[in-house]
Amino acid sequence: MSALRQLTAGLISAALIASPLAAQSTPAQPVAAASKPLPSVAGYRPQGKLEEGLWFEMDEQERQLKQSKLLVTDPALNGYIRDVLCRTVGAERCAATRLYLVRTPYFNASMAPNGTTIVYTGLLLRMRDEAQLAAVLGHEFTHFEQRHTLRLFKDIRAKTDALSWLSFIPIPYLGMISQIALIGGIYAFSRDMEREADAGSIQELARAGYDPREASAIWEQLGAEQDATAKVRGHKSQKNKNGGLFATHPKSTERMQTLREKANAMALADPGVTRAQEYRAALEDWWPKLIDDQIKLQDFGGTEYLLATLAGPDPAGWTADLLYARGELYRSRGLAGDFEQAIAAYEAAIEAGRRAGGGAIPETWRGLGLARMRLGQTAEGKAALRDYLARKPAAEDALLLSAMAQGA
Amino acid sequence: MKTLRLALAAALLVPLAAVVAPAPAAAQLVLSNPWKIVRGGDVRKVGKSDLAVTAVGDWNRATQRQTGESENWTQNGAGLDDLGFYVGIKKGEALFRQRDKKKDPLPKFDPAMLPTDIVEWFENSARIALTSAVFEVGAVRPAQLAGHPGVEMDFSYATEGDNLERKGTARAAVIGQRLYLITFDAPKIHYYDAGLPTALAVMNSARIVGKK
Repeated sequence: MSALRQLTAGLISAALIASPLAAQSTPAQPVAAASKPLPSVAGYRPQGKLEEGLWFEMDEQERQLKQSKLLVTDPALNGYIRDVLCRTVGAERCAATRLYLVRTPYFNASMAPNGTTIVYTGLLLRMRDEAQLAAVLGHEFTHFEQRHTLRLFKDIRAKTDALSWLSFIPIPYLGMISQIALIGGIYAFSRDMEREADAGSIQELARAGYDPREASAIWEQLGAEQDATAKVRGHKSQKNKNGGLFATHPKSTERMQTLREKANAMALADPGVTRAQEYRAALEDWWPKLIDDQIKLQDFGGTEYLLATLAGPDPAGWTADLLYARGELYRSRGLAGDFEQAIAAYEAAIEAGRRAGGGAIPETWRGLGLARMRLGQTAEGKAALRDYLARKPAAEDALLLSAMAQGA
Repeated sequence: MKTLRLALAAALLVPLAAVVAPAPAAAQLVLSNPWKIVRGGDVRKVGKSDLAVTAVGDWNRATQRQTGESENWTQNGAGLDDLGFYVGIKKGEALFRQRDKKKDPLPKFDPAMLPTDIVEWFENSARIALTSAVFEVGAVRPAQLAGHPGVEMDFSYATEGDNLERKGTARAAVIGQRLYLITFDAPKIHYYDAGLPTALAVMNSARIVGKK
């Protein structure tokens, strides 16, 4: 997503050129009356020129999105997320949306005005249970149903602010997945719209029988993760950057407070369910790939925080998988002391695997061997690599590893 | 279309500007990015380094460099095939140009890296530079580069807004505490298979010569 930041900066001059052109088009339509049909109703068609234009653009983008090689096509995982959405908002309203799951290791999701729903795999990695996923989907659905993108579009047109216009110029080269970080993504809306989406989200959660308290938990987790990333990298946390979700502005703090209080009150009447087991089961096959994508981002602070939240406060929460991921994280950073930490994590993973009965994944021995070799513990390192090759003889790097493991 | 060669902000802005900006500005951008020809049989020290290769077939060499230590050649045009030389990378340096050093830093090279670490470092660098998680390293095998033991790997990737699957092969070695890496990548359809033998022939010709 940072490529987008770069692009945005570079495009300012382009936007200045483009804005007079845009100003020539038809004036803003009056805000849609509340009595108008909702976009979630079957057979809904865009109302007025502006909305038609937005739909035209989004339909075009969606056509390209369908061809994207970044889409996760696994029917089981897509089916599960779709089911959660439909369970949250009901089958009828859910029919107005089309789900696209995109392999991108960041936290984001969006619903475009025409019903195109995009979920990043990085979101799935960060949700602790099904109720949290439902909260995000319910939140985005409210933005969609209340036509927030259209409202935002109208507001911006009224101000004819060149910089804001920028975010509405379609950038064909970028495609829809990146553009949702600019338009219609989680960070795009105004405070009022966020309040509306928050309220919508917990109502949907409660009605679907999910624990409404999970809605505010997500934003707290995400804020803490961004703090952790910033701390290790030595820059200011991004969590307050957009003024929307995490602004230090009292109104936003109040917004979080309101959300928590409302949810707590609702939970008193009916605590609802989190469906954590179901969530874990649905993600089981994908989890190793998603955590691998995250580790490869080389975001040490954020990833370490993420692993700790996934493990939870109980030391027993550190499963063999999580410990393996922790080993990989330290080994891949490779600073002084990191290889020792990695070895401890891999050994703990092997132990946790033995205790749980399933064993650790074979790659644990690979990591252990490589970390030992980096510390000059050559013989033990080679032994661990041979152990790995015995467990996974057809590994893609088997030829290289067996060359490295030769000799005592 | 974002490829390894285009994994730098400056190059990214070229096609974008061409879409948004009026024609004269676009024309200027094209003029500022000329190519020079490398004839088959030419011997060239790539990236102003001490690594020389002999061209097999004719190539177009981009005079715009991603970093001081890189050089890119193409036969059919950037985006259709790319032969990238990343040469003489020192301890603490990144593979590609840093797009956002603070918030999205690229991992740094360390001569203490094992051959497997080089592979992981290459993959992580490419994923960050391309902002794509659809990047997989496939088969990895021991190899020689310029007579030094190293590693060869196959990889495949896709980026957004391009909708093409790409494949590549890279060869790397640490020579005298510095990293030398040559990559070839092209769309999986036609160009990868068509260009690979020539690209490997250029890789095979690599040797270390004295710096002038």
